[in-house]
Amino acid sequence: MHIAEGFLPPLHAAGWTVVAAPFVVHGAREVRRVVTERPDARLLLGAAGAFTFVLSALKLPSVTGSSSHPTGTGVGAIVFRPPVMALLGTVVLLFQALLLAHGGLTTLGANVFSMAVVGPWAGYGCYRLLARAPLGVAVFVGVAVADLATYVTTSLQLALAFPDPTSGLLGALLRFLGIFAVTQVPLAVVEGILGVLLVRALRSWAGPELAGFGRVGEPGPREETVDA
Amino acid sequence: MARLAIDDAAWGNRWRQRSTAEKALLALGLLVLAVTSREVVTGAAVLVLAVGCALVGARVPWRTYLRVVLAPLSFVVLGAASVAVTVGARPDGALLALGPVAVTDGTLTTAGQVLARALAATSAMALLATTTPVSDLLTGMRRLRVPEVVVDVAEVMYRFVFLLLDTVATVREAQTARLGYATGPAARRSLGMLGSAVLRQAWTRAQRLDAGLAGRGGSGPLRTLPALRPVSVPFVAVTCTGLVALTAASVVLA
Repeated sequence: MHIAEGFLPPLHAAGWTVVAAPFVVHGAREVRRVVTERPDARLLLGAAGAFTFVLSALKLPSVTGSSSHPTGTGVGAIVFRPPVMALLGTVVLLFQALLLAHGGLTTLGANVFSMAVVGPWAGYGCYRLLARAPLGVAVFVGVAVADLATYVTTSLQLALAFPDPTSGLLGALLRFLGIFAVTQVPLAVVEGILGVLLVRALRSWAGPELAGFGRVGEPGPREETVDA
Repeated sequence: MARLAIDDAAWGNRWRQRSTAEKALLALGLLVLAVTSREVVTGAAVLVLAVGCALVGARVPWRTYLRVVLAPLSFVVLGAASVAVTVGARPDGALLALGPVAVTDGTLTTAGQVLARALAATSAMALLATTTPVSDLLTGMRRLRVPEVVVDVAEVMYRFVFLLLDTVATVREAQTARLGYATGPAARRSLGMLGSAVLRQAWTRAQRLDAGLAGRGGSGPLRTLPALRPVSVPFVAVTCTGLVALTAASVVLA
């Protein structure tokens, strides 16, 4: 869920940019380390970023009949780890602002914090906690939690910027959570399912390149390839 | 080849040959003004200037520009509507009240301000997006000393985005022709397959590109020579004068 250009007051926009900056810098260092170790990762990371962008440009039909755009950062965080996703997500958000007019330049910091920092870390954390669960379950929960964490963070950012005159911060938070739940909760479920399909597909043919990229890349028992 | 309307406008407008610095100064200056000013009049002035520069100066197709400005509409309207109401104990002087939900003078003013600010800021951002291609902006970021690895990954991404959009369009057409989106469950299954197919394309194309480059001894960033575009002094002078005048006017008004 992108906060539109100019929607946040200037101080909030600047504040979230300052909060998000260290994560992005850390991500840039991590990417530099990965690329120095394995030069072929340079193009793979670029392709992965472009894939995230293209995925986010698709409209997903949700269960409630509405449609919304997937975030795409959950799967990325599981495959490439959150620091790398912080950088890739930042570039994807910049591209979305410039090429699709989703989000904006002044709200880039706030959007980076919710979509490229909190979402990936929360999703990745749940995915790691479920290390003993079947991979499909872990991926589904990870991707869905990444989406939900993003949605809660964005609502919190909006509530902080526009607290309710009578019921204060909490009232505003519940209000924003309620309004955007219609599209965001079904989206989390649909994107979770999509994430499982994508990771299965990746494992079935991209094993060698994924070695060193965490559990997804481990040579596990060959699961069934993508049915359907 | 897949295309994006904003990208088309960025490559084909009359300001294409202007230096990136000029356009960035104008658009970002207007953007900062739109976001920091509380006066609706300043927002309106930014809107008029941005639309004028884009449509008259750069000759951006008005349909494209309008679509950019209206793209975030659903979010802005939903968000502003949420700002316009207050939930909880009924406040004094409510204009409209329905159970625990009420609309007051104050909340309406805030919602109006937010709407105006978002509209003005979006029009300024659209001016930059529709006049300057992403590759020019990335070259500019390199000059501003953004780390090489970041610009490099972003350049690879820009290359890949259009290849992948092509794949999406082709696969989607084939799926639609086979009634892949006729029902809800079918649509979800089709999207899963579409996602996997595009992911596979991205992956194998990246590998083949890497192998091809490695075979030619390429190992570093794909640098190209940036076009030399001198900064036009009159353009910068007019921009600076306009921005300063607008800032002064909004300060006086406040």
